[in-house]
Amino acid sequence: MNKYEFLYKLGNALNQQKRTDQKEILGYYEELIQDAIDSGQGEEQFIAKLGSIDKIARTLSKDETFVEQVKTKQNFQLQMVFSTTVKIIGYFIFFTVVIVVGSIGISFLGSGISMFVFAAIRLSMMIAQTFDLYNLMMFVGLLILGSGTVLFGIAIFKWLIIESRPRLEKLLEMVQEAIKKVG
Amino acid sequence: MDIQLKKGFLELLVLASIKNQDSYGYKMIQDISPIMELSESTLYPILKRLDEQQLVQTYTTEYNSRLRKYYKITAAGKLKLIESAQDFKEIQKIYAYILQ
Repeated sequence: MNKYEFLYKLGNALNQQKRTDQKEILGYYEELIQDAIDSGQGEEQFIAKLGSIDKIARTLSKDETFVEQVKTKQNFQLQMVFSTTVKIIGYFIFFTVVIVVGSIGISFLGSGISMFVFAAIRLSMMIAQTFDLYNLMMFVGLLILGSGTVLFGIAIFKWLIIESRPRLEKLLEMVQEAIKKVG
Repeated sequence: MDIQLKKGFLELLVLASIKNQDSYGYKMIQDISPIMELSESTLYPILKRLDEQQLVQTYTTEYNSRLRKYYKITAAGKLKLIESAQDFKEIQKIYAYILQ
């Protein structure tokens, strides 16, 4: 296998692994192969020495899992990284922000649903009774506004669910840094 | 050797290999392999981790009409090596106890 075939196949194997920075890895391997060639090694022999594409992708993936564990503090030892003081301050700030943002989300969701239900009822009543263009425009507008507000509320909750954990880790790191500076 | 232990040593070996002179992937493998087995696919995540931890810095320079990525040890990286020397004394004590 020559360099281009190898890089093409490796690129395909890395495609299945979303977390790896494909471009950077390919650049790394391209440079390694070129350096090996420049040092007098045979291109195909060096590529054969690198091992199978699957094994390379697996090795990189295994390490990604480890890095991910470090990031998500799933490793027991890593959970001990932050001191109790950092955790107390960090969690206090975190839960305050969660409560504030969550309240905003609930208010958007609640008012959106109310607007939507109110507009839908009034619209159906109006259609059943008398047709009025101005009221029709108003209730249709309210219906759209209600839907938008509900979606915004959902987006806030989605953000809270997806982003809260990485943000918490970042926050704990920031608190730790701040304590180090003060102390 | 235990994989986590090996990972820790390899990180230190990579830092040690660039302590006096900036280096690049291929050369690091050549330098480290006689001391501890290090494959190309093992080195990449180590370099990435060291870079994320700001223990190394990277830069690219032109070599033979192509770009080559170099790794340079940072002050934090040098400190890590000094700290590891202190760990060495502890490890010696641990092994003295284990092997007694």
